[in-house]
Amino acid sequence: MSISKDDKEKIIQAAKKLVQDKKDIIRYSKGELTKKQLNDKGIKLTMPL
Amino acid sequence: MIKELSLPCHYKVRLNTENNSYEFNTAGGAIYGVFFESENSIFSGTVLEGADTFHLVVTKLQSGDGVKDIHVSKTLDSIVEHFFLIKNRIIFYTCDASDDRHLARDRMFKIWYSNSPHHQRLNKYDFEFAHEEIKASVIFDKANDLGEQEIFNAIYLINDVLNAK
Repeated sequence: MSISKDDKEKIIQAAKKLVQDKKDIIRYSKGELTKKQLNDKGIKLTMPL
Repeated sequence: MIKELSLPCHYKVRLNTENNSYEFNTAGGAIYGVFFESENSIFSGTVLEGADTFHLVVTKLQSGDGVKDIHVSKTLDSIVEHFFLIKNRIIFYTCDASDDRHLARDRMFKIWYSNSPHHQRLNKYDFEFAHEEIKASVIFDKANDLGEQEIFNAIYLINDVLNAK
C-alpha cells in the first residue's frame, strides 16, 4: 500500500500537531487554557466510555 | 460532574466529565489526570483512517511527595484496561524532547507496558521521528477487527513517512 502525497503531508502535520496538543492539554489540566481555547485549537478531549 | 469508577486498583479513579479526564489521588498527595484526545489525522491514507484512535496524555495535576509509588502504574493499567473494553480502540502516545526528562518518561512508559498484565493481550509498537526527538508508541488490542498485521503495516507506513529523508 502506498500513501498519496496529500496524505503524507497530513501525517507530517498531524505528528507536529500531536506534540503541540500534548503541551496544550497539560496547560489545560493546569487551568492555563479554557476548554473553549482547547476546542478552538482543534483539540477534542473525549471520555472513551 | 465527578463520577467514581469501580476499577480493580488501589486508588479510586474518578471520571471528571467536566474536564473529560480520568483522575486519581495518590497516598503521597499527587493527583494524576489521564486525557484521551480523539485524533485520527496521523493515520491518513492508511487502513487506520477513520478508526477509533486516541492520543493518550498522562499528567500530574498536583505534585506529591516524590516517593516512588507502584500503585500509580497499576492504576494506569486499570484505566487502560477500562479503555480497551472496546477492543477496536487504538492508543497513540508521544514523548517529546521539550525538556530533558523525555527519555526518562519514555523509559517509564516502556517499563509500565512490559510489567502490565495486559501486554499479553495488547501490541505496542515504538518508533521515533523528528530526528529522534519525539518518541511515539501505538498500542492496540491483538483482537482488533482491522487485523493485527494490517495495523502493523499502517504503523510502518507512518513511521516511513515521518522518517523519510
